[in-house]
Amino acid sequence: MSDFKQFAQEAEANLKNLVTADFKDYTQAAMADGKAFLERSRQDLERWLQLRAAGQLTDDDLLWLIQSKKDLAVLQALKQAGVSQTRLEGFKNDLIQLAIQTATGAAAQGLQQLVPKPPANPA
Amino acid sequence: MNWVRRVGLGLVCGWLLGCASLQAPAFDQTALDQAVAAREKAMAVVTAGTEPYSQHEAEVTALRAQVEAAAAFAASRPHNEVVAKQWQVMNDPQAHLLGGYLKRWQALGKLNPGFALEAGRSIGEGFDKIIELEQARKH
Repeated sequence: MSDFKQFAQEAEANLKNLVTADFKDYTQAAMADGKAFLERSRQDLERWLQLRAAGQLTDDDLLWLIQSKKDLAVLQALKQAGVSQTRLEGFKNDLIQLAIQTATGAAAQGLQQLVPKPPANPA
Repeated sequence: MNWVRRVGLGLVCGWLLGCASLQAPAFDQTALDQAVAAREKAMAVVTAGTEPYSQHEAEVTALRAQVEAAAAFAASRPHNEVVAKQWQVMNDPQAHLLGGYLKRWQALGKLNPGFALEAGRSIGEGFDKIIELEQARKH
């Protein structure tokens, strides 16, 4: 029972390390990318309104550009979905490796138990 | 023998994970090259939007063919629905990126400079999102 507990603890620790390694940087990067897109959109809209006020854009131009931002938001969301897909594929592969390594580690431990210990040298 | 059971459990879990439907296409240099080349060509054509469409009809036709080829290649790759959708939005004449811009240019004959410049920025940003996704597939 203590062998299984040790195996489970080792597997859990390895899994935590794997999740942290695979997703921490990605989450931060995805958040930063999303914020950058929103900020750029805000700046673009401000500039377009100024251009409209200056007569360099018509109402139809302005409407078209605003709608282009909606389409860009779709492309942004698709990009993030694609990046997530790639990350998950990598995580899946790492998880398979972890499962095999943990299992073979337990197998090696089990094999050691089968090998009889050599007798102690008589005094 | 407990260790036999643990080994078996680990291998079964590994096998199950291998059967999961989470699959993403690998990085493809051809796809990246197509996206970069299409962006470059599109920016050159879009910039000419302040001139009569009739003077640039051949360039627009060539650009549309180039983008459609890139979109078809994206759609042909397994598990690449996300990028295929990106190209669809970019190329859609009912949307408001490259396809919509070319349609508007053709309908109006000529576009005002302020609009051509700003729309060009949006279109370039759209291409960047296709390019960045492909680049993210590099490990």
